Amino acid sequence: MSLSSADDTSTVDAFSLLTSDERELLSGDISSGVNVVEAMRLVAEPTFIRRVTVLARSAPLHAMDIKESWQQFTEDRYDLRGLALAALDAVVMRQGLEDEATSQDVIDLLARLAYRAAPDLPSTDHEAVARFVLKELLNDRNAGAKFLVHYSDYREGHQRVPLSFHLLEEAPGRRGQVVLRASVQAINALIGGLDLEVEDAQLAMDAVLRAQISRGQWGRAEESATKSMLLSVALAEKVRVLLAETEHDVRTVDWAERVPALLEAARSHLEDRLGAEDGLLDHMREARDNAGDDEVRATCLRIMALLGRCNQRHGELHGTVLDALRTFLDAQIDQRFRPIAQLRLVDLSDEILAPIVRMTAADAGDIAALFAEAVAGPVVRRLPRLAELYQLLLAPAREPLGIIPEDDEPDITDAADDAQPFSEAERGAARAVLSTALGRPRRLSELLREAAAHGRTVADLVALSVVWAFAPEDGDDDDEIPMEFEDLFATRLLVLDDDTPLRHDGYSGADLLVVPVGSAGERGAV
Amino acid sequence: MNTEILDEIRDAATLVRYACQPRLRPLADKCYAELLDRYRSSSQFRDLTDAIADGLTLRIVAAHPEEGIVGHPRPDGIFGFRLIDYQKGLKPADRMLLGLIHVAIAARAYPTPSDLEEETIRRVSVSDVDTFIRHLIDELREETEDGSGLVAVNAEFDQAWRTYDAMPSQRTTANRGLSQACTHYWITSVLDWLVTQGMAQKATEFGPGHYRLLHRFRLQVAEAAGQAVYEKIADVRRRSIAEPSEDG
Repeated sequence: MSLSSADDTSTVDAFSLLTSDERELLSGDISSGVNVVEAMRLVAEPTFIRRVTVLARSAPLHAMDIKESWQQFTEDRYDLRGLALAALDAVVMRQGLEDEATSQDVIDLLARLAYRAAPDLPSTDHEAVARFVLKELLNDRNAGAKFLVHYSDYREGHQRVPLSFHLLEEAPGRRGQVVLRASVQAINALIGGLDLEVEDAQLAMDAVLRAQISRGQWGRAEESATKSMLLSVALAEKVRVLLAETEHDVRTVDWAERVPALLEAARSHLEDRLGAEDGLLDHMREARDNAGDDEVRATCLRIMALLGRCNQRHGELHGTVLDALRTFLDAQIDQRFRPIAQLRLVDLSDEILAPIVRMTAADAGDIAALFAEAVAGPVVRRLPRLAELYQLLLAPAREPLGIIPEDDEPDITDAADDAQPFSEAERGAARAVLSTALGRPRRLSELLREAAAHGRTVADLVALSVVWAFAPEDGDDDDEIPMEFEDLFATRLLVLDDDTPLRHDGYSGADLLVVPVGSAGERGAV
Repeated sequence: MNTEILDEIRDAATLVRYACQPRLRPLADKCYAELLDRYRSSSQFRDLTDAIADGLTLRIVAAHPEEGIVGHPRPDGIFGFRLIDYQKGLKPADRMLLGLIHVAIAARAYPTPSDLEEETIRRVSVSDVDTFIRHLIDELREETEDGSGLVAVNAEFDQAWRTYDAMPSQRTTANRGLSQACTHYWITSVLDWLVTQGMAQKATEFGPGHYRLLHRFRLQVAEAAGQAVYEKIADVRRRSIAEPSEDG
């Protein structure tokens, strides 16, 4: 019996010290820690996967926090998740009833809640928060498309499964205004992630409600009553859609087994609920009469009002369900008992639509497009008429091409064909005047005086010719100077400027000197 | 040539022209009505008209007393229609959407083969068609779920219905028009196109977005849906059986 070192011996020693009872207790499995294989099996169970999907569906609410930093309102003062849940609550409470919730209603509610959270901040901040939360719930970021999250399915190896869902959607309301509606997934998320079949959850809820009332937990009783009504809304929608489809095409709904079973279950369930809710109402009425607390009584009345509404809805639904069989028989006579169709006709729903919708997007695209193109009938292409085309091409451009006004466009005509601004007679007279300078140097003023005798135009022509000869323009544009005076000015006359100012009616500038070439060297001669 | 023969040829060609103008109706046009009667009574005239139409790559499907001549163009012919001509810059996903909506409208209006024969005018509305398709999608989603209500282990995720599912039903733009990112827009544009082709009429007395589908549409669907599409689908099925899928 030594306490010495070797591990084996010490274990054996301790064991032998135990009594038989203790040994019995210890005879069970003493495996240490969690067995890894067990955990892998847990992960493959459907319940686990269901919980994962529920958690995944709350992803957008959490993502809101991360996106908060991009916003213009004060960080870290508001509980965005709580506000989102409040918005969902507000929408679902009024869904399907007379006055459904509009965006403005929800924004007002959220702004009020934000004010309570941060009364010191300006109201623009509260509104900004409210709008942000609503937009996130509607997924405005992706133009109202469904949220897409992925989760892992470990049942056979690993598969990454996409999950797409809406939280809130905009839809047309009863009176034409745009209202908000919560999707079924959002309703389930609100009910605390149960995600079970509608009917079962409702029974569970009733039991909860009763227990809570008997124990006097009023707050939670109200919550349960709310949940009951939400479930009624979902159930009503299910049955309504089914009956509407039956009226349209009987074959799309399985009336042989599935639907009768569903209707039977729904019918008996509804009868249960009507009974149960009556019982509950009586219960509540009793509690209300005996309650001492004012707040308790108020809650009681609220719950009773809620239950009353539920009751009403169930009553309507019950009536519809009872009519269902008649709806089916009418639809059947209308649709199925008809003369046999010709053999060449194709069944559109089963043989065309159903396969197309199940194909991959690429295949479906080709085939569906083929159908659309075939159904369109003859499409006559419009050919352009050549005469009109010609006119269209030559029409002036509608946009301005630049800053060039139209006046500056040069004429595209031959200079030789141009209509002369000066007539033959005028040109002749000007030539005569200018030729007088061939003999001796003449001043421009003298020439102009002589030319003026023949008329103003001749004088202009003389002046222009002399000026042009003195300093010809560099540009190529043909101005009014006729080329025929070239012979005079090119070789035989020279124009000089000796800074004498010109004094003549209508002209100003320098009084140029026109000298014959020969005498250019002899200055000073008059 | 004999003037009588020439006149007959001219009348036959006129009738073929009427076939290419699907919005005209014999009740409104006397000439049309006369030619239609001749077509239905004289076999020689009928053969002549059919021959001319055939030469123009058009097949005359029916001569309906109210609708007039219903012609079905050959896909490779001069009157054939391609969706990509309909709208510039059409993405493949949008093309699939347009095609799918055509099929859905036809399937919604004529669910059984005998509906394709019956002479009643059907009415559809934009929201009607949308709900129909989404109901079908819900059923398909349930198909991918197994017994415990979860998505099955080997489900495929690139099917056509998922594209439709991802798009919201209604979405408005800043100036209150329908945005292109919603299915109601595409359904409305298909129905408006059918109106231009004389296949439908607006029935706004029942509310906005309601349309009446005419006999012409029914006859075109019966002819069009029949062979080409049916065979194509059979081809795809055969192909998918011949090549086993990757998971299988």
